[in-house]
Amino acid sequence: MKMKKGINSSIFKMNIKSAILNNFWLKLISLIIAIITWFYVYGEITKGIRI
Amino acid sequence: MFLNIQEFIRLLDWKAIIEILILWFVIYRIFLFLKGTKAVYLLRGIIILVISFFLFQKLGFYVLSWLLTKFFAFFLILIVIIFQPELREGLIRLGKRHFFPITLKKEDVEKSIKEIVTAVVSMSKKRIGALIAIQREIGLKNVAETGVYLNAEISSEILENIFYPSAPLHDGGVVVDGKTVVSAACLFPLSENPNLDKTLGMRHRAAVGLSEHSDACVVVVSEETGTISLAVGGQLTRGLSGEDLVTILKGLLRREG
Repeated sequence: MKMKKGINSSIFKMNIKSAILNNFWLKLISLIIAIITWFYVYGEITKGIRI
Repeated sequence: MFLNIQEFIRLLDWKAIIEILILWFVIYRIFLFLKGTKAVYLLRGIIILVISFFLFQKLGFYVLSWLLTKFFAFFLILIVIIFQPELREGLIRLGKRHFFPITLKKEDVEKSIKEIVTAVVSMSKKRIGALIAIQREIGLKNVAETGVYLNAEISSEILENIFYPSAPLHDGGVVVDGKTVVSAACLFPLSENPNLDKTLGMRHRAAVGLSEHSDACVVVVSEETGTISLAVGGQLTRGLSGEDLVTILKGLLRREG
């Protein structure tokens, strides 16, 4: 039972690891672009409100 | 134009985080969709132009910055023209995706995999070329329409019979949906991926092409070498054994069970 639990948790860890590492650079670049876009649009919107 | 970092961190409430996460997901899906297509090179050019624009603004190169601002005015129209095939394909995919997927019984999926793999291994030994598309969430009706409708229950004998070299339906691909062989002698779209191995024949290019246009798993048997390959999401895995194919197909079709 204990061994099964251990196997399950290691499979879970492997899945998380592969989910993060799979297309890692694409995910990182997308995140950076998403933050920059939000940052820029929010700035533009609040600038419009201030005017 | 931009906020400073401290202000940005102050603004990061739960709504902002959700907005950024949604933006991240959309941008990532777009990148994933464009990966491996010719549009990647155009996208690189656009990214260089955007970076140049911000650099010109920061450095105070007003003339160049003005020119790029004017260029961006036509940018939206340009994007629609340049990315027309990708946009069309993306919208088709979005429309075709089942939000509540039709679930297949686990036994049906396993039977289907068993029959396909048995036929594929047998044809590989006899050096008989084969092209089998297994439908997943995105429907392949438009592809099935280009062939001859069979709507027969899947069996390794039927598949081998279809691809037998002198059989009338051996040219083209077969579309399989669940435990049904929907159609044979179908025309699959050819891949235009410039990074594909130049030695690949039309059958392999058709397999990759269909996997680029849909989420189907496409199994190919090479007529020349008897090699078994699998195309999924525009990626071709070559030199598979029967056991490999069973494991991969079970993994790919598992969520439908």
